[in-house]
Amino acid sequence: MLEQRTDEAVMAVVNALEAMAFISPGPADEPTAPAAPVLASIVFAGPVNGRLELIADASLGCTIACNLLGITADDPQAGERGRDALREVLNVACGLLLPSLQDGSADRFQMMLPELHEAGTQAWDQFIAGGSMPLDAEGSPLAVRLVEM
Amino acid sequence: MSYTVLIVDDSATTRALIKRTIQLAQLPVERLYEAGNGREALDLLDCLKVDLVLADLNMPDMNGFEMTRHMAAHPTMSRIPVVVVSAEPNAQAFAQGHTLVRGVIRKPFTPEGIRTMVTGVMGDQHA
Repeated sequence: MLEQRTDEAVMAVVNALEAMAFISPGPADEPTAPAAPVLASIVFAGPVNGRLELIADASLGCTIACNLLGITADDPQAGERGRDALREVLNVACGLLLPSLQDGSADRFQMMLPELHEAGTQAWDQFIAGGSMPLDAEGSPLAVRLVEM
Repeated sequence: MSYTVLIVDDSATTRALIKRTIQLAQLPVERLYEAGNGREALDLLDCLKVDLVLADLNMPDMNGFEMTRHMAAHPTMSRIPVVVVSAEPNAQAFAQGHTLVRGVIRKPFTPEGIRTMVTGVMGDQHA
């Protein structure tokens, strides 16, 4: 069951955020739902088929874009690139995750294109109710889950 | 000797990051072009002089696997070295099957990784 390997998925997302954007998410002490939640997902196929999902506040994407590109939040690029930056983080996290799902070898996996959609606060509630550990990424809520398909 | 580089990635953020890395590394790059997928890249390669292609694999419309196969079958594009910059787990296996692919940089990449790879490939190329 992929759902039981969510911890590895969380680590992959944390590692991607640290390496790409110098953001180190940790457990949220008092988790609150994102004000403007967006859901990023990427499907993979191979020895196991599944979907890696990340729900976060849209502002996290802007923070990632700022850190990646060395720009400030008032730069127009920060808003434009936020959604793209979140998709790219999930893409990289999936690439980091897959070897751990297949004994270090991920050659037989195929990754699809990451997608990003607006999500309601109920989507956040579903993540948490499903056992996803809420994280805090520089004051922005974040949760990750792995779904078998 | 300066050279021209084509960055192929569907993520505009990643293209900007690679571009910034190359500029900060002070590599002798005369011009940087960008494409959002393999098809756009082939269109540019058809009309521009490019010395090195840095390409993602997982892209819409035409992915990097297909783009590289097209390049390999083309009389002039087949001389342009490709460096894969990708999170794809099978990037290394793909590279081993293509002489055109001169290296793989796994995402997340470091500025040093980009600089070392570009210097190595272009150093060989211009030796």
